[in-house]
Amino acid sequence: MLDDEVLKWKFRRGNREALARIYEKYLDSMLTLAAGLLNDVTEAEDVVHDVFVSFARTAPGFHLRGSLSGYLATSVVNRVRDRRRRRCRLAAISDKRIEPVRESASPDETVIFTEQAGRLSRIVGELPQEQREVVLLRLTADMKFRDIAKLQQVSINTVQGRYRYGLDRLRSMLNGEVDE
Amino acid sequence: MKPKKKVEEAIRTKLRFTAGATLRDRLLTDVMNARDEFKGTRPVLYETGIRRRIMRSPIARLTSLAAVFAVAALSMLLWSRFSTSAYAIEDTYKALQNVRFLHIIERDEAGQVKDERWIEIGEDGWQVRYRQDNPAPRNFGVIEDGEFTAVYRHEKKAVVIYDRKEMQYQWVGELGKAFENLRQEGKILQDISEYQGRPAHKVWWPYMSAECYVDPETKLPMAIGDTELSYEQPPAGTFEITVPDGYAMLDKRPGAAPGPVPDWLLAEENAEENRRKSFEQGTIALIQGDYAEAARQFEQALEYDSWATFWLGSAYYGLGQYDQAAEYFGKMLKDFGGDNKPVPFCNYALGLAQAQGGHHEAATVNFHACLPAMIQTLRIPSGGRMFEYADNPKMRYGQYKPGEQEMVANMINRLRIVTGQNFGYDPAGSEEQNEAAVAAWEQWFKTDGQIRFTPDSPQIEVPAEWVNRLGWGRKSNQEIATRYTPQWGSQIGDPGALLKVGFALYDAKRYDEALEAFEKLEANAGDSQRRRAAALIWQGHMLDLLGRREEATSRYRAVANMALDAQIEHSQYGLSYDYSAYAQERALAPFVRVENRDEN
Repeated sequence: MLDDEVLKWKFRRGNREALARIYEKYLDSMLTLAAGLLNDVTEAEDVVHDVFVSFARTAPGFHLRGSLSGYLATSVVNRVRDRRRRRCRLAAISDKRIEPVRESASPDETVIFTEQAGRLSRIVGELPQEQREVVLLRLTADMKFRDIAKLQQVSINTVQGRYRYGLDRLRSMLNGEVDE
Repeated sequence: MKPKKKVEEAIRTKLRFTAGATLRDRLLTDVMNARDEFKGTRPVLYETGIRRRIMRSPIARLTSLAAVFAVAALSMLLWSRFSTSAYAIEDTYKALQNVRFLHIIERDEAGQVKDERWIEIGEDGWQVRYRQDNPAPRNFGVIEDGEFTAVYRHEKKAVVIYDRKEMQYQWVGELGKAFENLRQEGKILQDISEYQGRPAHKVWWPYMSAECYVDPETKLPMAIGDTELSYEQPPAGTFEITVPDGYAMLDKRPGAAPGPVPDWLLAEENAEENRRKSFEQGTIALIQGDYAEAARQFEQALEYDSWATFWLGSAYYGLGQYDQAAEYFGKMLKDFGGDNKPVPFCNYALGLAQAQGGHHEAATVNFHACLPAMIQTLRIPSGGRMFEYADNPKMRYGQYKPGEQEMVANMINRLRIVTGQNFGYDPAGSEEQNEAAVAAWEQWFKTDGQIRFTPDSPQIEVPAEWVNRLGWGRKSNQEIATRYTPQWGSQIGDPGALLKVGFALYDAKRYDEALEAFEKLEANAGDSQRRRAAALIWQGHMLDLLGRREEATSRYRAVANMALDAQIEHSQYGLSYDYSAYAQERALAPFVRVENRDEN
């Protein structure tokens, strides 16, 4: 598999294949992150669509020293925050919750996830916004605490604290649900 | 109750959303279309020009880095991390991505240009072509056309031509990195401010250790510290190397026909080499606390680098010769700040030397000059970086890289010395407690702000510094492991100290905690690929010892993929290896514990 540094380098020089590979590599993790943050698969699809489309347009001036995954995850979070702000302004909070795909649905057209993933996502959705971001960025996008701290504009200690509190809450909410 | 690890594992492995094949293809089509559409309309900047990757070769930084150190007195705490702003630093970052040329001007106090530079920036964030002009008294100039570097010595009526790989001049090093730093760490100090009568956003730019004024229309910086910036296309011929009438050309390019080298150039080159050696030896002596030797060496290196002046002052300070120390700190202050402008770390050092020498009035003036920047560092820790650099020459060689908490704790220690105040800051304390302490400092500064030199004020222990003073052997590691608690460890940000802590916990067979230390080392590795590789390899070792082979393998593979051509030695464990090659081996066969063979 091509190393991310090589992918970034090729992408910046307009290589189509590099873009396709980046997309393949990170689509699902970004979808998982967006779905976890929004608790809504359809909106998550839109967010991820917008993130990759906008990413595709950045190629000529693309300078990135950090990780690709961190960059994409940051874009996902920013778009999710935008949506949330819009939602608040419209005072029309969607009540669409995540439901697992049924056998009868056409799985190719949609996002596929297990019943357990849906349940986990709902439970993560119960966390306060900041904790939810930290937990998902750390665990689904493998983002470093340092980078999350920058994104949230707080100290690394605060982020680590949010992570700890988030996990504590999840632990009590998940009691008995984790083992398969 | 489930242990936290299980929760983490459940989210990592079971919270998975996957796009179905049709959805996948549909999205991919949109992404590719977006790319193709945009490609057709990309700015002309990316169509032409030199696109050469510049080799990072021995770089002669003969120029003053005045822009970097020209730190104006920091305005007080108008920025709040929670405030929202119509302007976002991201706007400036994006605007900078489309910049092709930089025009940089520094003026003396009479308003005359003393330093003018033109830079053409490559797509990769490195400078491609460069020009520098310093009129009298320096009488110096440089033109780099992308291939060769011409150094103009006007007083000698000579042009010396070098291969660019041998000789390069820079303004602030890697520009792309500086821009990225603004995006990642920059802070808006004042959304609405002004620069020379024009409206501006005022931003703190940590890489430059300076305030920067951003044009609200173009979003581009108009000035960094005292340095003016603009972005117009340079006049034709700016980057063309020419030999003026009556000038001799000395060709120092490899393969050039050997011609007579004038005595003045030979003498200068020899002297430069000697000064370089003295500078390095002076730095080593200062780090080791051999102040007499440091002073001797820095005296010989004064023209090599501006920091020789400052560290000569530090050496005299260490020797207790405070008047000489004040002389050199004062010289550095004048070089960087002129007659009136504060340069906080210089004012602080000068104030200390004056206070120790009994010149309390002069010291008070200097302490007042640096106090605003010191207080501001409590909120924007990167503001303390130059103080750290001045206090610890190891930073120059990448051997010390304080984290934010360390910079804040050290600054509190300096504040205590200067003011005699103590507001109970404790790096191991709660966020609320420390927030209250910082607020108390700010309140004190606003309402009192009196200087009271108190050299024996109680100092906060900075764990990284304590760790760095110890050795790498068993006894030191035992001390560290005994002292270690997660809370204590959380105060350490310096990569060197984190590596040592990781080893100490490994020696004590506390593999889970050692793993955390190596993870934090990875997070704090910054740009250093070697640090990152070492962190990942040792994470792999810990995971192997914890029986988590699959995770260990992924760490080793990451290092193998870095294809890092460098070596590391941990002599205390009898280990010496090439990072990537070793990681490849470990991906095939797990790590087996080795014991620490050094005593101290």
